[in-house]
Amino acid sequence: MLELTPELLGNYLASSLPGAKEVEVRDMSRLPLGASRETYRFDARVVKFDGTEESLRLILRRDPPASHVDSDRRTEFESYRAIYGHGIPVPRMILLENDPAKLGGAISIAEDLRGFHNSEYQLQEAAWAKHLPGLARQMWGYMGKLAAVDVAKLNLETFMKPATVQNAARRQLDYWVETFRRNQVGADPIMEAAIRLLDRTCPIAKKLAMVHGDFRAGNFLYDDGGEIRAILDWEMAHIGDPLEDLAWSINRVFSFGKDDRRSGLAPRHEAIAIWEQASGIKAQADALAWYELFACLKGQALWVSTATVWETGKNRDIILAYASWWLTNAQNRAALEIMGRL
Amino acid sequence: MPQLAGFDANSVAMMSAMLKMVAEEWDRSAAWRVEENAAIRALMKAAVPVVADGGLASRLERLAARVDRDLHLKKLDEANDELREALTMLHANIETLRTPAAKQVNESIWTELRRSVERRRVGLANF
Repeated sequence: MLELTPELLGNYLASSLPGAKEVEVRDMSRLPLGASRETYRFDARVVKFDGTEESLRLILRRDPPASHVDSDRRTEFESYRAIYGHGIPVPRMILLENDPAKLGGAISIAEDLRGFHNSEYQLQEAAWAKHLPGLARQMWGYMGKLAAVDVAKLNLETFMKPATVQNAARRQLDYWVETFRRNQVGADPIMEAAIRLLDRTCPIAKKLAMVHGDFRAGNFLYDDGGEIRAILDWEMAHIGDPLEDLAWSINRVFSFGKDDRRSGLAPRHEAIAIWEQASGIKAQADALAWYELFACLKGQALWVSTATVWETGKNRDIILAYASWWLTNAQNRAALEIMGRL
Repeated sequence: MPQLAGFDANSVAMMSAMLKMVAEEWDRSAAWRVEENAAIRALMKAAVPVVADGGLASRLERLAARVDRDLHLKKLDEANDELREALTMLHANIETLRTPAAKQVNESIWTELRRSVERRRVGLANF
C-alpha cells in the first residue's frame, strides 16, 4: 500500500485545497482508532495565492486495501455534512477524495478536535466514575436527538439508499445476513437460530430517521470535564429505524466495564429512558428486542469479517485478530441472552 | 527499549492481551472440543427417531456413530464444524415440529448451545 508521507500529502493538499499555493504537513502520526479505516493526525501550514497563511489541525481517514466494513468514504463524509448543525456535535468536514490512485485509498479530511479523549476503556478507570451518569445522559440524549431529526430535511437520499417504514428492518436484515454468510468462519448454530427468529418477526418501523450505525462509547470525543465534544465514525450511517441505534448501543459486547452498564455507562433501563425522553419516541418492547437481536447478528457479521480480513492477509492490523477472537463468542452469548436461552 | 505511544503502543497492548488469550486456550483446547463433539453426537443420536426428514435422520445417524480418534486440533475442528453445521440443520428442522419428543430435542439443543458458549468463553471478554 502507498505510504502516506508528509510530502505526498502536502503536494496533494496544495492541488486540492481551495486557494492553496503551498502546503507543508508537519507532525503526522497514525492514531490507534478503530479497525475499519486508517486514521492520521497532522498539522498543515497553508500558504495561499492571496499571500495569506493558515494553520490547520486535521484528521485524515483512508480506506485500507481491505476492510471488514463495506462503507463508502463518501457516505461518511456526506453524513457528517448532513447532520452538521442539527444539534448533534460533529467535526467539520474539509475534503473528500474518492480516487484511490491519488493517496493509496479513498480519503476524507476533517477538522481535528484535539485535546479530547475517545477511549471507552479509560472511562472504566476510577477517576472517571463521577462523569459516567453525565456521559450517559449526553450519549443517549444525542442519540435520541438524532432519532427526532426530521429525516426528510436532511436530503440523505442523494447519497444513501432509500428505505420505508415497511422495509427498513428487512433491508438491514438481508444486508447483514449476506455479510455474515459471506464472511462466516465455521458453523454458527446460535447465529443461525437468531437469523431464523429475526426473519420470522421483522417489525414495521414507527418512523424513519438517520441512523448512525455504530453509536456507542468509543465513538465519541469527550473532554476532561466529561462533556461530549463530537460524535464520530458515521461510516455505517443509513436511513432506518432509530431503534437500531439504541439497540446497538446497549449490545452486551459493548459493556466495557464487564458489568451491567451498557457502553460502560449505564444500565439498560436507564439508557432506554434517556433515549425515550430525548427522542420523544416510546421504544416498543418487542421491536427493541428485535433490534437487540439484530444488533447481535450485525455485530457477528462485523466480527467474522475482521477475522476473514486478517486470515486472508489483506490487512494485518493486530486489532482485527484480537477483536474477532473474543467478540465472536461474546456476541453469541449476548444473542442467547436476548433469545431467553442463556 | 523505545517508549511506544499512540498506534504502536495500542498494537503492543493488544498483542499482550492475545498472548493471555492463547495461554488461556492452550490447556483446554483439545478437551472442550472432544467434550463438545461427544455431546453433539449424543444429541444427534437421540434426535434420529424424532426428525421428520429421512435424509437428515440418516446424516445424523452417520455423524453420531463417529468417534474422535485423531486429537490434533485441526482434525477436532473439522469434526466440530461438521457437527455444528448438522446441528444447525437439526435445530431448524426440530423447531417446526410440535411433538413432545421434538420439544425435548429442542430444549436439549438450547442446553448444548448454552454450554458451547461457556466452553469458548474468553476471560477478558466484556460478556
